[in-house]
Amino acid sequence: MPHLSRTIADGSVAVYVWFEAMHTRVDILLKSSCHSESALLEVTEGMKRIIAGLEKVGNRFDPSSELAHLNRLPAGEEVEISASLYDMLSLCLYYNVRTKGLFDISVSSPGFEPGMLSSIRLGEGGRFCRSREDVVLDLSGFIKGYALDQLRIYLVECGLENALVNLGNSSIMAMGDVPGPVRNGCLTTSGNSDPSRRHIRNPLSGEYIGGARTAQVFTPGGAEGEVEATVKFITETI
Amino acid sequence: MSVIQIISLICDKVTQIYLNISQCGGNKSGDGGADVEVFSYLCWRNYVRRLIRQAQSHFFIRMNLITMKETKKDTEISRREFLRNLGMAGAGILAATSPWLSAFSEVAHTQKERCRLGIIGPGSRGQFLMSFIAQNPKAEIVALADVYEPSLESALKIAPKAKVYRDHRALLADKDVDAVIVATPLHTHYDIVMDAFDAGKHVYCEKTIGYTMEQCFNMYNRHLETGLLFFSGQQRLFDPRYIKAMDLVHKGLFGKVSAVEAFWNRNGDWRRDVPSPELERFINWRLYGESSRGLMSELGCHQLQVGTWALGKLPDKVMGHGGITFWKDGREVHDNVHCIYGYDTGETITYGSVISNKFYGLEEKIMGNLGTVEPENGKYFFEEVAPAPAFLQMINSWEHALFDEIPFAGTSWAPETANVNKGEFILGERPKGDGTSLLTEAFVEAVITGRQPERIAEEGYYASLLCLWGHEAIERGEIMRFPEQYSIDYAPYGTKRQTTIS
Repeated sequence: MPHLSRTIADGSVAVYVWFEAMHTRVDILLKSSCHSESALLEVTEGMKRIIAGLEKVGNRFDPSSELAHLNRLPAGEEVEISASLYDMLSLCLYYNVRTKGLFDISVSSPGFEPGMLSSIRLGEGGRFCRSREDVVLDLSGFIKGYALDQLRIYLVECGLENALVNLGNSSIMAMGDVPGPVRNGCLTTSGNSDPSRRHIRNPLSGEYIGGARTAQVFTPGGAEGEVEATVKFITETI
Repeated sequence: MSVIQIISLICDKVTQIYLNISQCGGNKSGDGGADVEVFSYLCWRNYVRRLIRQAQSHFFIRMNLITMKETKKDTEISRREFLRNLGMAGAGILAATSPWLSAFSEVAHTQKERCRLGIIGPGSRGQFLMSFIAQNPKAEIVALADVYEPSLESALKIAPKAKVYRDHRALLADKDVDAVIVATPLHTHYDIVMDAFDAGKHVYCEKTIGYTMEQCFNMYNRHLETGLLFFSGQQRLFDPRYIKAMDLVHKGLFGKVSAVEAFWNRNGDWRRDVPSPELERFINWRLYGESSRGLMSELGCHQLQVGTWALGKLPDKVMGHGGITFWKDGREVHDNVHCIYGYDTGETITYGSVISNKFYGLEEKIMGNLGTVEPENGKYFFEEVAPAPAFLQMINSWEHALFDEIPFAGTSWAPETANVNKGEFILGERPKGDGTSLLTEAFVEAVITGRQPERIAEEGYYASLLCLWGHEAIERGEIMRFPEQYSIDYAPYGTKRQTTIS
């Protein structure tokens, strides 16, 4: 994995790694006074595995992903899903309710209509079932923030206190002493980089939102950042 | 503590106070309000920093202008300042990669010092060097020596007050000369440089330093024996884009470097106009075996040094081939040469030069498993995704404790179009010039301080040795092992040279 490392004047070691994942670039900067360079690189390898694992579970464009499998599941058929996908879907259902439908992971369904997400049922023991076959679940606007939360848990477990993780510039998580404007939280951006790009849809109207405009939020967690940024972008348009 | 650090400290304190007030006031309703306000304060802090930095920048620019105006000829920003402007703050940071930059370590204390130079061989290359020296307020060209009158006449236009000699030994006897620059044909270097050392003069000798490996070895040893300065015309050692590129290469940015492919292609006969037929061998000395090693000594010398600089060690064997395939005009040196320099550890430096096709021009491709550097082009390219400039800035900020604005965050990053890899500029902009100006200034500084910059003589020595060794392999048509008898006590970048001889 490409990387750069530096020894800082205070004796701590900084490592920067970058790679592509989740259809975007990932930049990770770690600093520690109690880890060696090789130990930090091992941590980044673990982070890469976490991101790859989540992508394998939640990338609906990968036909072999678990989410793609759910999107092909016959109506009424119940399956047991992985803990991470269950966790993501349950959070998304929760945020859908909390945002009164403004955050909706079924908005990419071909015949989308408000309330479609209610056809999803999550049961005990990690069970999943859907009552409509035309509902398509898309975690694209959520998974990066969720990944940031998982990475933070992993970093804390590894004894890391200072880290900056950037998933494609739109989802950034900072911990401890790192340069830059973000401190101990997540900076999430939602929107269009140019007027021709229309990829965010208002779940209430079904309309795609155009215009080169962004909404940015600073939140303690990454998942909630994705939700808040999306909702902010939509509501500022209404 | 710098102004920026003080401002940062104040901003951090103000933000912390604000955070405490917000939390005491119970503005933590869970609706993100407190976070938004905190974020707005973070933005405010950076805004203040930016204002201060802009003001500071304007101040420095103004001060520089005032200083330049007041000192008239001292219009040059110091070399250290120059390097700092290129993002290479402090020569110490680059000590591992380019230790010869220590030549500028006393630059601020030598403002009133002067170095008196003699130019031996003020022909085309000599005058090119003189053009830089004439701009240097610390240098004075006091003497010229040449056997070709037109060169002297032309050189006097650059240095009209210089004394003129027709014999280099007379110039060397001149007590007003502190140091000499030797820019004569290759086969004359040895005698002139050895005479210069005997006369107690510091020496800058154009590359290739000697006509044979033995000559180079003797010249280097005489430099050690006399303690006099010895520079060679390897200007890439002072070219900021090369210095920066090597810093990145040695830090592993491009992964494991397995090969360096160097080439210098032109489409021309490499001839100079000859006013009279009997001057053919005198003017076009590069084309004849008695005075030149052809493309290997005149062009290869520069680029082979880049290869060893990148790999941090010397090759163990060389094989080569050359021929006269296009310019069959009576010349004796090849118009196309190719050499492969191999390492017992597997790495390779290849060098090729063809002067009947210029399509690919000039380059040294430093090839790592993660990326490629093309220093001549001033660019680097990554095999996959490139590092983010903002993160590069941040990790360097941590290392050097120089914090600045970090521009990132926005809508999702989109990869470049497949198969289009435009690369990144090593210095963030198109290359400007080469290192010749800095090289001559480094020599002047060294003459003034009397201190030989670390490794510069050794890099020049081995650059010359490599091209002469390759030339010999071409002539013999053999795979040649490194000529151990010419090894010198030099462990570049901490790596001891392997001395296996088959």
